[in-house]
Amino acid sequence: MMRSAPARGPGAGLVRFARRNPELTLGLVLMAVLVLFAFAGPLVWDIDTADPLSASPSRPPSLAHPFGTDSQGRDLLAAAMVGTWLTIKVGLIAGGIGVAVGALLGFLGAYYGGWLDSAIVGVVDVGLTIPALLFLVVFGSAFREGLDTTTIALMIGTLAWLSPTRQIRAQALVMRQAGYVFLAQLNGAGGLRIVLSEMMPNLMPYLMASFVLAISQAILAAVGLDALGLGPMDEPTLGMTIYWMLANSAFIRGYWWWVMTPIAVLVVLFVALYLVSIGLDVIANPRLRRRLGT
Amino acid sequence: MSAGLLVRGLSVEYATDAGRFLAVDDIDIAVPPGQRLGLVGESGCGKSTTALALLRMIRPPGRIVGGAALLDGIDLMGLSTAQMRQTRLSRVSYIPQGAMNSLNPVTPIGTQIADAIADHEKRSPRDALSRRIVAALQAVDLPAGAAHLYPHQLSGGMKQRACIAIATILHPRLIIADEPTSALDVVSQRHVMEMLGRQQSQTGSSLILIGHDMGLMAQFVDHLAVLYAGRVVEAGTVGEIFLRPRHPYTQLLIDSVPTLANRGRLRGLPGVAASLSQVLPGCAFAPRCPRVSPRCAQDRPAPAPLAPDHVAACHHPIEPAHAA
Repeated sequence: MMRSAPARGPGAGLVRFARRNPELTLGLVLMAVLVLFAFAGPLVWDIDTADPLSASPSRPPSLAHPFGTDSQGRDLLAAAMVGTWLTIKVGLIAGGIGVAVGALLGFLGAYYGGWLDSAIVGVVDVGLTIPALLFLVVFGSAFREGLDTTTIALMIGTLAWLSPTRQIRAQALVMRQAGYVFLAQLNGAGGLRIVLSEMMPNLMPYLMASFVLAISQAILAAVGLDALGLGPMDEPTLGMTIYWMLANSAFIRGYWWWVMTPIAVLVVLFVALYLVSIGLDVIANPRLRRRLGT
Repeated sequence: MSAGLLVRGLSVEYATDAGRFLAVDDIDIAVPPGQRLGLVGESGCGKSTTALALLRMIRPPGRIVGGAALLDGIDLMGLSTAQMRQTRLSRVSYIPQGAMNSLNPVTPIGTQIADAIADHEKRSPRDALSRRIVAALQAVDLPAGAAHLYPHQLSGGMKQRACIAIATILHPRLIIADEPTSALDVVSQRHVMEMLGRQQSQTGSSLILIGHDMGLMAQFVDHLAVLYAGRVVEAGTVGEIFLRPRHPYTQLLIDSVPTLANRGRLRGLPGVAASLSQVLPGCAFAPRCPRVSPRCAQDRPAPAPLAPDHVAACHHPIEPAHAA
């Protein structure tokens, strides 16, 4: 009506978006490639060969096994397909818990203040002093038996909300002073309504950026646990592949393909998350926006 | 049961490290339905505090320490927190000073109106709701399409009119407008005030206009209450006060407005506004008053009726010139 949008297809809009935010675009493309690899891969490749003893062991890449096989007879391409999604899943669950709980507590603490805020700040301050890896190693070794990627994700999630809570609370404290929040109170809006429909939408880009950050931290923690041998023994996550590789002295025996596969996928994954994160940062913080050449 | 707003003895106290101060001290005001009251005074005299007190939105360390505010016979100060929350906007609405910051930057105007309605009413059908929103926007001279616009796509005057649309959509009994035009140029100011006046007349609600623009007050309101240091020093109909100001402070306020008659001779008020931290035993205006006498420093003048519909708190009220 009052907007003047030149009549161009959705393709033109995408191109414009990509030019304005190349980091986010490239990051999302890389993420899409990984997700495609994890979900479309199994359509053309037999992922049952990710189990041990399904191929001849310790073979370098060949046509039958493009990424080679490990010394227990797993096809490393199949293992990478399965492992990529398992690893992303851990990140999504733990990062999701982290940001959801963090946003809820951060907003409630900042908005209501008082004893609720003091309690939240106290728990977060104490919680942040606990070395996360130590906590995870202790619990990981205590629950050795029933561990799968989901329980590991939940375990990481129990600590993942601490720093998002602190950061989101700080942002919400500033926003609480905004004129529209005060006017909403003057107009008789309830506290929860103000948090959800006045404050939350203003923080959406920031929440998205925290979510991506929380995902990458959760993946880092999960890979670390797996590599220490505290991960799920019967699931070929990227971290567990690293663990088996270390346990079987792949470096000394010169199995370079075994070393390369999980590391290559992890590098792509982290680069993608990093690019998405700085791309979102540009949206959340307009001062970082570069000027477009016309 | 009296209709309209009747405030008796309203007091607001701020407790600070340096002591307790009365920002609003025993204020009495009345606004009949359909009438407009102007609340004028210098910065810090308690105008906005009075408005927020009526909405029970004084934040700590401030506290309402006494008084009653009857709106159509119901004491706002006696309502429960939940009742008061329902009362805001639906019975008493507030139009803020800075419309620039009072609308949520990431929510379209229509959604903000819908949110405000949803806080007070049961969910209504979608098309009825959007018809109502469009009608509210058109009532303040905004195009129907403004419902889909974000605040940054509107001008300052349009934003302020959007605020008026929100403030009047539930037909409140009392509208409090806190310097609604202070950030606008005179053309938008006139437009905004016209819209505000029209909305108020149509709903027949009482209106309190807060400001220090004496010219605007003279044109817009029916009654005037002059505040100084948290107290009403003079109150009456707008004609009475402008023609026959009795309190020296009011006289000086009126004289400070430039007129075509006394061009080039601007008069200000001597001195600075009273500090609430140094409470004087006598009249708060005494240190700046041209008519001060020793009695003023000792004895606080009580508001006294000097004419029908005209009250002033002064030991030495100005005697009206009969020629006026």
